[in-house]
Amino acid sequence: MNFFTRIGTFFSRLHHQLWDALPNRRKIVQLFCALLYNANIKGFISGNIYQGASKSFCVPGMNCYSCPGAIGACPLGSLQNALAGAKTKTIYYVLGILLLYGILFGRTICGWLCPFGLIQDLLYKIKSFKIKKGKWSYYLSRLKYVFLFGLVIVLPLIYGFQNLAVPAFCKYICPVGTLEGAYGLMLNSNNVSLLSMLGSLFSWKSLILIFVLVMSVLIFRPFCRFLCPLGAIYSFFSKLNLIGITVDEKKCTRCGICTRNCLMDVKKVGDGECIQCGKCIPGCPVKAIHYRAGFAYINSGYHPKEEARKNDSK
Amino acid sequence: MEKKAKILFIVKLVSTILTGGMGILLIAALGDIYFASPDNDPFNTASISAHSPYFITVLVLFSVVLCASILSAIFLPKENRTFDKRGKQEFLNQLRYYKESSAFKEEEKKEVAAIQKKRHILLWITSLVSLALFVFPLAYVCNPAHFSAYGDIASEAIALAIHTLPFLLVIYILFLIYSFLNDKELEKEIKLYRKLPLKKEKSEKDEKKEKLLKTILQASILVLAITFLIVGAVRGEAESVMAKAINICTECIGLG
Repeated sequence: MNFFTRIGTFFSRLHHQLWDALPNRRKIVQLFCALLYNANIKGFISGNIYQGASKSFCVPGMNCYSCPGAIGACPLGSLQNALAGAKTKTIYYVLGILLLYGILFGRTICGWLCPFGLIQDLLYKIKSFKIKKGKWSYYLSRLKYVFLFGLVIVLPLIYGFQNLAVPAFCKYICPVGTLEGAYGLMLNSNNVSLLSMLGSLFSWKSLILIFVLVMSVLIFRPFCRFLCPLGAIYSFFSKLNLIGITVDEKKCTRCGICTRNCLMDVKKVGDGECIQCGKCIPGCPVKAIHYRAGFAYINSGYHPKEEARKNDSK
Repeated sequence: MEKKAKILFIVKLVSTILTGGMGILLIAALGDIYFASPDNDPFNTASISAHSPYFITVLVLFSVVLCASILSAIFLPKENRTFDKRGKQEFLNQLRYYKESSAFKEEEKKEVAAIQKKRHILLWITSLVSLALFVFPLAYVCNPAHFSAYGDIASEAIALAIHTLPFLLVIYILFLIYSFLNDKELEKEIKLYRKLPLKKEKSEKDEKKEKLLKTILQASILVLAITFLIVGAVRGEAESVMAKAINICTECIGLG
């Protein structure tokens, strides 16, 4: 092999590696959503949170409304506050929003529209030894339903009827609030006065945040799989959501490659644990997995990177 | 081992150790700030700036891990993903889908029914015991007397952990034991299902019926969601959501 051929081979390989490292369509949508939910750039500079009319509507993903950039409300925080005030007010509005997002997208929101999902996805990209899924993770993935039932529904309701507003999940667990709300506000020099009000609760929540972020490097999406009550709510719509992933039952050979290759604790593509990211689409040997809108398929297994590589190698 | 694979292994080993190290450093900094500072004001600018070496170290380590990851993603070969082992339940579901269960002989039918009954009993026992155990932590957290607005949160948290975590751990272990026992029964059922012939395909009529039912359900939920949304907005609930969202959520940021 002469010198020029070697250089040519090197650049060709570099081109392939860089092509692989480029963000895919899903990453671009995730990034766009993260920026859209936090479009109030002025807030990051001034240290104040946005107070416009758009805050009366909830965004589909987990995004703390105390983040200086947030232009919409957090669906989970709104649900807990609505339940805490259920003694005096009805909760139709928040329920309507959750039902609407659920029936339209279901857990597609987790895979495509959630900023905290994006953070975890990026952290998992760091090269390290990974902890694989198994029975331990399958049973631990049920913990999010316990959080949904206990911390999001029962506790705010019970305390709400005693005239105490306790959004228990936001208060004791939510790492998104700590990251976006607390650190988003505290890192601004205009909010130094808030530091004096922080104590044990902030330490506890920071501990959870550190744990979740470190674990995100070693385990795929630990917050979404084990803790997120919003994902638990959307999982109830997994068989009914209008836009999402589907398996063509006639083509499917039940080889199980999709579920075995998936990093989530899925038993079947499109079930309650599936975040509908579509990573299984190119891997399906009979191209039975598609995206659909209603009953129409909107992705027939076409994968631009794979296609480009095939054309290049011809 | 190939040279590049060796480098990748070293990169992964180092970044795993550094990631763990960063977590420990951050937790140590947090603990140090909390325990070393005055009780009523642990997070002041002086204590945070005194701990800046911790944070700078973490930032440097993170930059190293990130750079190594990006470089290895570009220059080192991609790893071949190994498939996870197929679960027994998954395999049984596949068999049930494909095989004609009506072809079972009377004896085999009884055998399958007995295995399924045993599995159901196991699940019921595990679920009921877990539910009974779950009542204790739930009763504890539902009692407002255990949490005071301005009390010592650290001691309250310890008491909460003592009264809830052991129960949750026992529930988790119970389910792991259940899965082990359930797997043994699944193996027996798989053996019986494997003998069966293949099933005939679903008729178009059935498929259309299923599709229609799904559409009706989807449309009803969509209508219900829009109705709820409009009714809620008319009743002024949107203003309540906004009122909460435009003020700093003290719970979210850890003020309580």
